[in-house]
Amino acid sequence: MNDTLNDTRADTRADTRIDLDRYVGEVRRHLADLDADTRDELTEGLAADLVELVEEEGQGALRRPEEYAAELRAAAGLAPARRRPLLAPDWWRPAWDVAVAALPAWWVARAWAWVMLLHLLLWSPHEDGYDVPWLPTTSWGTGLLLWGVAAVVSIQIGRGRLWPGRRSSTAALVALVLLEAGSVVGAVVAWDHVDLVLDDRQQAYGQDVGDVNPAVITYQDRQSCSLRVFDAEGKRVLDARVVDQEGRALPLRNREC
Amino acid sequence: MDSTQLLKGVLDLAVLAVVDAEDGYGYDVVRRLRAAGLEDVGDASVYGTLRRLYAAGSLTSYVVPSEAGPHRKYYGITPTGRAELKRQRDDWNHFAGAVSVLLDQTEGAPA
Repeated sequence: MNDTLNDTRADTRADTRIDLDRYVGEVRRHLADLDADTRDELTEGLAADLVELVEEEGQGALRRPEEYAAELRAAAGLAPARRRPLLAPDWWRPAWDVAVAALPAWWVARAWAWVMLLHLLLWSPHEDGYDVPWLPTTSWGTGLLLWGVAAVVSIQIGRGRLWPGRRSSTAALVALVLLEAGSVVGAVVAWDHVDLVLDDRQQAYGQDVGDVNPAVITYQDRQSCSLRVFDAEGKRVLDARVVDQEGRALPLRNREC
Repeated sequence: MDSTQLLKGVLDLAVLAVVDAEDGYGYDVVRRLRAAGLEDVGDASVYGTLRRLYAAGSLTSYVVPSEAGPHRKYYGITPTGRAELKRQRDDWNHFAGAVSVLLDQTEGAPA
């Protein structure tokens, strides 16, 4: 008899726990605009307290989660909810936290996109740069240094230490939009450049051209170190491919020449 | 008289006094406040007050694991909290004494 009674109480308690976990989850949803630490601090141990409350006073002692969250927030000296968290889906806050945590990585990536964009716009990529196509210069050292300097500037802007930082003036907002838009454009252009160079390299050195030296072109008995293609206006075509009469790709550059 | 407004003004003091007597978890503090005569105190108000006092350094906290259910978060008073309790107790005694004297004087005065 006693065992049956104890089992019933245990089942009831388990049901209560499930309900209260759901209730605490709802309360947390109404605190979704707070940072994760503050929200955890406010609700840690809450489930245990509510178990006792419900056991002593019944489910009726629980108010609506939004009212409970509002009272909790007010008593903790926190400002009322800035926006209606009910409109935000469950994944919104974790996704936002991840995005915020990833911001430093974006600041560094943004710096890379900008130095690559400026490099490609201001200087025609020299063929020597093909050795490190994903850096803005011809060498690892200089390229990494330039990227590092740009990254420091980008991080300081991201942290609000440099203008436009986190200013709210119109000029600062416009500058930030341009900065981010330029980053996206730079990333696309730079990625296209890297892809092009790697593809070019593969075309030049990767194809089977028979039993001849695949890296050497001879023209009128003279060995050519590289082939360059220019358009009708004399502008160099960087993404050109040169093939022979049989459609085999010719090497555009001989590294050992 | 609406005791809710009065309660808001003295909740910090009441919570500090309860925790000063003995460490406690959220609902335990609520229960002790109600047993002391503050029946209208809301549990969410007490929990929020505990968190605020903790953030201000007046309380410390520790978690006690429970095999039967969720873990309990206990609060204890810090030296800063004791100093704050003393200051607020003095303020309350001064305020309550002044109001009591005022009420005693006006009670005997002719209408």
